[in-house]
Amino acid sequence: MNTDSDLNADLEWKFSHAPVDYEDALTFMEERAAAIYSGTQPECIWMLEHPALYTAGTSADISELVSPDRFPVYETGRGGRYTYHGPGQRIAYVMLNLDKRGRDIRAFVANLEEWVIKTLAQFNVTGERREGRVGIWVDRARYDNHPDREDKIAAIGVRVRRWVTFHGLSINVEPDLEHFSGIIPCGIEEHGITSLVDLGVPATVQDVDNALIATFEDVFKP
Amino acid sequence: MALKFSEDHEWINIEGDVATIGITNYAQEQLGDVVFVDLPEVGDTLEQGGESGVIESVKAASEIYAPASGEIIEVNEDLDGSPALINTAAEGDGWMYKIKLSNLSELDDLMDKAGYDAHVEELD
Repeated sequence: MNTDSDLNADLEWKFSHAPVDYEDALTFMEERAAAIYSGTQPECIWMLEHPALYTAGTSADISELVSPDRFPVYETGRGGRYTYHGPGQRIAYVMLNLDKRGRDIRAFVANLEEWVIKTLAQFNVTGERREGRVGIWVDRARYDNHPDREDKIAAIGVRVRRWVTFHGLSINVEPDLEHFSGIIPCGIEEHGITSLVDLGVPATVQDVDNALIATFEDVFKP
Repeated sequence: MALKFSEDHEWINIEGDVATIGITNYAQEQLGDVVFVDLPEVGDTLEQGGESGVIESVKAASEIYAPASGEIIEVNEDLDGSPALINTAAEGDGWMYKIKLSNLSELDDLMDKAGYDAHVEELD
């Protein structure tokens, strides 16, 4: 009989400290997703950063790519529109087998959101969901003199292949926020982008890894 | 004419050697609000069990699979502008594509309505 600890016991945590090329990451995820489906390799969570680049999700509209020549642009099979990845933004790629975890894609996305919220809470940052806007948001009125501003601090986008997930989430730790201006992130024009450091939290990528690890089991149980 | 179902939650409505294919109501409930549908193109050939498209909902892009092999002869263009048809009418106006079946014996691998209902019951 499976217990809670069994479900996560085989999970592999993988950490990359140098930026990973987008194509290499995609190849790894595709191969691992296939191996998870066939049962030959364990589920995996991979923490990494990419060099500065933009990615287009399956519903991306080319009009939202404002500066097409600024960074490399990759078409990708994750859900969502355009996003930016780059140094100072920690990514968790989440390769889990939903066949063992309830076969509920909406619940899986909600769990990713919850995981980010709990991780941010470790830094006393209140991340919030917003109806109709996926990702995690911060009400700037809580932090500084931007009473009417809500900024996005984390993005989510996944692919599901035969109930195995890949792609995942990104949390802005200390990226160059100006780099987001080359796109309309997630198709949402009227709100901004922030990061932990932008909010005055002196967090490092390592701190965010530790917070993600510490909160994972709370969220991803059967 | 016969209506059959795959384990991957597609329905297939067979008329002679032509079949209309979509995802089941159960599948659309699992996906949530559909915002985008990527379908194959007319003239593409599909293998049974192979990827036939992608449905995006709540930031998750989920692959869909062909319940039978054949050549695409028509796709549901309405899904381009109204992907939510998958939610409101998964087993009707939210159909995805039509194929000319290339191997009728594959249909024996599929379930009838009672078999599919039992399959779904086991999953819940």
